[in-house]
Amino acid sequence: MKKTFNNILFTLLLGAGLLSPLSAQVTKGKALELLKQADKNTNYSGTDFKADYTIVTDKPGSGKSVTSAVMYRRDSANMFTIVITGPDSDKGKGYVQFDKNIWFYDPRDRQFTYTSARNRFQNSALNNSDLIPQTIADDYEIKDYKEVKLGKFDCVYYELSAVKKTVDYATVKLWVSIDDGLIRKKEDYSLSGQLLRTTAIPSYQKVDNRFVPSGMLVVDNLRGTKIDGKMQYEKTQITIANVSFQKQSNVVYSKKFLEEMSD
Amino acid sequence: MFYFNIAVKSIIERKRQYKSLFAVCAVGVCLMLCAIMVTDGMISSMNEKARQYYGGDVLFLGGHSITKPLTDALEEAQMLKESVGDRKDVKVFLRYNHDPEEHGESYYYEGTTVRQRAIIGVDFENEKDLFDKFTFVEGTYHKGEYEDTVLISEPIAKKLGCHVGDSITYFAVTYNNYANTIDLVVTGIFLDASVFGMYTSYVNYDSLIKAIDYDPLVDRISLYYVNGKPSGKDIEKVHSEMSKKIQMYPLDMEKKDFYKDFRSSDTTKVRKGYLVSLDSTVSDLKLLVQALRLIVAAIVLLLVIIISVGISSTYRVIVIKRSLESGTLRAIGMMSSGIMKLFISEAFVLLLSGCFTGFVFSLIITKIGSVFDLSFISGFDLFLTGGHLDPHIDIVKIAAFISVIIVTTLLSVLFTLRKLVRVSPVGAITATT
Repeated sequence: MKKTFNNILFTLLLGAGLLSPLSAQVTKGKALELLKQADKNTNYSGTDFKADYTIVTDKPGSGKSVTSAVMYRRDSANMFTIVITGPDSDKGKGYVQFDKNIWFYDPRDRQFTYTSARNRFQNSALNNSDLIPQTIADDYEIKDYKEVKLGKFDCVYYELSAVKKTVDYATVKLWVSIDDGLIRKKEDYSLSGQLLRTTAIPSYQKVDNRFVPSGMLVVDNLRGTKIDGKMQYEKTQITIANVSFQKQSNVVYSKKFLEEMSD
Repeated sequence: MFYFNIAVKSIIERKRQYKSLFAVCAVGVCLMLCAIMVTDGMISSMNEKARQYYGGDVLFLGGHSITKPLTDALEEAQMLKESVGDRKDVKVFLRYNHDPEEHGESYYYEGTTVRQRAIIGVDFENEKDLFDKFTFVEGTYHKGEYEDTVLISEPIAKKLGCHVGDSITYFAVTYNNYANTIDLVVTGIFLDASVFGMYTSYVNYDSLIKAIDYDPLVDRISLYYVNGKPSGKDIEKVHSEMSKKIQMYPLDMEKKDFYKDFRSSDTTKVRKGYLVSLDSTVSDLKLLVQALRLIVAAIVLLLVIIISVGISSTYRVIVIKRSLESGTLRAIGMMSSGIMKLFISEAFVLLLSGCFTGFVFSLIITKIGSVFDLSFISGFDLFLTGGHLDPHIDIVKIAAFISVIIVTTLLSVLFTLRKLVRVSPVGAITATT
């Protein structure tokens, strides 16, 4: 009887141990440090960044659309330029940020329109703000954190609350892998606590000792279609290739460059 | 009465002769009254939609600020209530007009999204008289057991694929620029695809404030006259009474001048108010109304000319043809004035019967026209009530127009007959032999 009870207790404890998060070895200080490292890993200061982006937007019931673009970034100066290279209907369009303003260029009317980081990128689930360095450690405070397993990654899971009014989401949940300080998953919530977006970054590529996501998946948890009685949400998959950290000409981060590229 | 009786008998005897004149008069009056009734109905419909959108007939702007805390607004509302004078049918409404376009806010339902041009926070129970005039295709404005409720237009409901009782998600941006969501239950779907209603929704005031996560705000205080549009004197009365309480801008001040002056003034300690009627608020629509009225005036003028010239010239021929009769009447002692009265009486009876027939036909035609659902015509919904034309019958106005036609035509007939009836009996007989 006693042996049976002990076996049951042992089994329950083992099961609880397997289901529970890892033992909390990360302190608050370390958690904050890891968060800052995660931000740093998204910032390519000291050089320019250039890569080919392929953005596949899947709208359930409407099919997929593919946009290709070339991204240029100069994070030290808060500048970037995106030139859309496909499909043909969008070719020549682009975005340029300088002096804290983002401009959208349409070659059809040769006009620049002011846009914001909050706006969607090419009607996808991606926001313009997803394509620039993150400053999560400055914009949010840690409400809660714990060590968890996310797939094969040992991560710190954060519950963050906004402290600045410049961010879009009042609450963010974040998973950062402990070994390399890379963001693996992010959930954006509304002020009322509704899940709005989920971003997953399963893999990174290392180029010149810097980490660049190989791909990202963003799910819009508001937009979608009901198919066979089940909600299917819009997804945007981004693939980043041909990464280069070579210096670019200053003219790349100007309106003139976009106009010339569209000619 | 004597001449009237003779005129009636004469017309009946010569009905074949007078058929075309009668027809011209009846058709002309019918067209004219149709144009007037339909246009008045269109303008009335448009004004009613503007009234619903702006929440009243007269707007109060200003005070300490354009957008103010609810506490300030309540004080101003109380002042307005005390200033309305003898009109007991006046209600004061407080609203907050949120601009969802500024931050790309929208509604979501089962993954489908629609944008809105205006989201108006209202107290549905307080604005009962106004919402009673909405044309609901489903549901109503009553909240019932729900806390967070919304009224949306039929086109928007169709786009979202939702019905009354469904919960839609309002994606908002708070005052602190955070994304926020709130579930709103659709309690009513109203019929309005016009520029006022299609992209406008009405949300329970507390729900809207909750969504934007800020202190209760009001940016529109309006006076709603339940029993009909206020007169100029009613508005002057309110203005005069309010001027005893706070500093008021002149009534005839342009709205843009008010904004310019108000924004450059320091109103933290002193309230400065401005009253503006709905007509002045919707100045673009005022132009549209003027254009419509101008078109109708042109149609009326044309028809009056056609009727009066047509009848008077035809009468000229008739009088010439009846010169033997005129001569005979003169010979037996009737004065030329008597003959004039006879012909004028005939013309009057003809016009009266023609106008009455035209009026009856116009009622029938406009009634038939109002049966058809014209909401399929893009942009036309502004002029429709519940998707249909709603002709406005103003008996006084109709009587006035008919009087103008009769008087104008009789005067032209008189002018025509003046010389013709002065012929002597001998001259008349001579002319016919």
